[in-house]
Amino acid sequence: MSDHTATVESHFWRQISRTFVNWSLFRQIMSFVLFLVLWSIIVVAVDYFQQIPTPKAVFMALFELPFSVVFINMLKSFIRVLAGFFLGILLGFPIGVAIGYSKVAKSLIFPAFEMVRPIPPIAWIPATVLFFVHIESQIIFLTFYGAFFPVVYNTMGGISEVDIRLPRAAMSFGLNKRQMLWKVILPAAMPQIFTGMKLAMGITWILVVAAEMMANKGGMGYYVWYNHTVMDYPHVVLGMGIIGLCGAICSIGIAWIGNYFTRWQRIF
Amino acid sequence: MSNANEEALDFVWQPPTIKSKIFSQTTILGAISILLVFVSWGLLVHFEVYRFVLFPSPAEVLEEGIAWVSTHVFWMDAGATTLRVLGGVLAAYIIAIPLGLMIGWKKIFSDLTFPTLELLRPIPAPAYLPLAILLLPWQEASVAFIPFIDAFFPVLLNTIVGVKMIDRDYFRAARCLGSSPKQIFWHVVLPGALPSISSGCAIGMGIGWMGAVVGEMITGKWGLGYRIWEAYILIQYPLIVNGMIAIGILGFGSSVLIRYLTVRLIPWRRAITDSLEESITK
Amino acid sequence: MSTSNQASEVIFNNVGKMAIFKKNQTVILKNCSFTVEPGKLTVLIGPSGCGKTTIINLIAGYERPDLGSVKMDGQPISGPNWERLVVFQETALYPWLSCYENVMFGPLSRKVMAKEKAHEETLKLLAKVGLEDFRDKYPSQLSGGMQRRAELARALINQPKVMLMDEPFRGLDAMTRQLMQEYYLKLFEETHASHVFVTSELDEAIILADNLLIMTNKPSKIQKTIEVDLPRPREWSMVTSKRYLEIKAEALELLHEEAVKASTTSGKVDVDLSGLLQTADSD
Repeated sequence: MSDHTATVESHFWRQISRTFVNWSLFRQIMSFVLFLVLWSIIVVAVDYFQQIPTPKAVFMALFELPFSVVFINMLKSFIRVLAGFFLGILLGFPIGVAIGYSKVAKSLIFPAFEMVRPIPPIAWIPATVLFFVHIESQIIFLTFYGAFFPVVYNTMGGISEVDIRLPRAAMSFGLNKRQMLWKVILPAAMPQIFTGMKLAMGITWILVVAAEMMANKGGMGYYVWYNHTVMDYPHVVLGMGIIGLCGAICSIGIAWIGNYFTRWQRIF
Repeated sequence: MSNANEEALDFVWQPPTIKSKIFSQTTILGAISILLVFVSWGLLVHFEVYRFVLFPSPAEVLEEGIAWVSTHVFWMDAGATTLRVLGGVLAAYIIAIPLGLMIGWKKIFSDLTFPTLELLRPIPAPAYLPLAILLLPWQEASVAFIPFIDAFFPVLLNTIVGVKMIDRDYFRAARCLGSSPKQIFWHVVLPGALPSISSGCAIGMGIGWMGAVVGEMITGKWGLGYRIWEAYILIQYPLIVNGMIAIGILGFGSSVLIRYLTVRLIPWRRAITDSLEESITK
Repeated sequence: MSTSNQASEVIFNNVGKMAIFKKNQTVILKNCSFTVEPGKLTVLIGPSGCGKTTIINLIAGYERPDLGSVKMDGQPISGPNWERLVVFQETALYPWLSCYENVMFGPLSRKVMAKEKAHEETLKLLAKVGLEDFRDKYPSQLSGGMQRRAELARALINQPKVMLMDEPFRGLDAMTRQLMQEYYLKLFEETHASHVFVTSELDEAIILADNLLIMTNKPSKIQKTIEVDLPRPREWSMVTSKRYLEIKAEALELLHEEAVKASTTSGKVDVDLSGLLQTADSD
């Protein structure tokens, strides 16, 4: 009997605590705290990690951050990423639509793509240097190339996996081929097309950082690498953080646009 | 109603012969597609269009490639890159899959780890290179750290999504049947997430190759990535192309291998369809 | 119901259709002949997987017969057309359009209706199927029964000559299903189109049908046509009438025969035999 009262009591307290404290949110905040504490402890306590800056050192470095320099580098990276990304969509989207929709286009274009695609975009760096005179256009070609294939493949995949009944119904309603594409197939494929764009955005940031590290022409990748060469590790970590932030802003932007265009999907 | 023709009309169907398969539209167009790449490459080089003057012709590349493959250096490079990729990517699998399963399965675990991981995720792998060099003075390991980071997040996210997509009723059914948490993990969580994990692993492997090449280009002394960068500096242009091809083939091979291995684990997964046009009207 | 000039006749003449799946040839339809009489509701019933959907696809024009001919009003069917519209299994509403936009989709795409006219017609139809309060909802926000009604409205606004219903009420719960059947009967009795209705449930088949076509197992053809001469408008109370039970007994016997044949000839028993037998017992 006393056992029973104990359960009721504990249940009561659990209800109270759940009403006034959002434990999940608390734990999520604790996640960051835990991360910072672990990081500090490891750096301070373990000799091997001594050279890694502590969270405190990184935070202090924030005050001596050369804002104008960082801002210009950030802007450079942004421009390179967005230029490549939009070029990738501009070219990749129509090609993806063509090979997703038409059998002839698919058998004509797809094998060549399959042959080139396994070469990681990074491996194109020496070749792009051959083709483009200006370093700026080399980097933009690289980001374009990185964005191109995810956009093509996801657009194609989205279209070829459209529920067959939707275009069938549209044919019955008497839509012509163009209407079919714009009014039925593209809206139906939209969720996966945006998945491709999100992927493309991630890859362009990887590429831009790698290219800037090698190119000596500014940008956040260069900023990080430069601070590495002068052994200023707190600023390396800060630079990483800023790159992460820029990448996150871009992905969130794309996700936001994607959610707008596929809002019918999310309402339940 | 004309029902005069009462006798059975019969179907005549012959399975496609080898000849008809070879001469089907798809294969012919596919061959044209690949041929077109080489022909246009050859022509662009031959007529010295724009910067193609600098570029080697397909024949040159082939010739040099055959010579290169038979050298000791090639095998050392290919071996080094493969080992770095495999080391980094396998380490990512070993850490990311269990972590993803736990994050997807247990809310508490997810709360405590996922926000931090989300914070780290947007940082592209090459940005970790300075820290990797600092932490792992042993150069092999610092290059392998990049494919590790590259592969880690796709595998992790696919695993989490895989667990989240499992029908809630499977958990309820398992609990009704009296399964212990351990049994639920092995018989519901893991197999349920497997299809998604499989594609995550293949993606991770693909990106892992990119990571290894970046690492080698920037800091390497060995490996295919280093070799093509060196070839550029030493103006050995056919070697650049051959290096790219070698990286492509190895990367493709490892992705196919991963897909093959993981698909064998999930025989219930469905196949992917053809192009849409074919299936709307038969 | 009298034949109006709008209704059409569809004739299957010795139709044969095969499918090739993983290098194996399956004959789906063989020597399949029947007539969809103008202005009548023709119900196709048979074991599941016997090619009922194939028949719908043939009439809609999504597939072509390999042998024989499918003709509508004497003309061979050459492709999909708004004169023959399908209400699909489960829902095929466009998920990115609201209920209202879905219904207007056909006439506006064909540009056969002015916007105001289409708007008016859409509202009228939505009111008829009881969805006027849900016009701005996306399909994912509607219940199963509402989705089916929206889809009916989307087809009806085009004033098709032949309506093709491919197990439209499958997957609905029993109560909703019965309501939908009543809705559907009312709509059918108001329109002047020929309807083809595919189902695997016998009670639904008999209460709806003018002509009940019983199909054989694969390779399928029409085994028998039963004329259901229950008076219209139909009501559910008719299920206890003598004539209804006679028809049901006859149909059950034929279906049972097919089911047994299917289970003995092919290893895979894909016939809902248990359900049929249960109803037979309770009768």
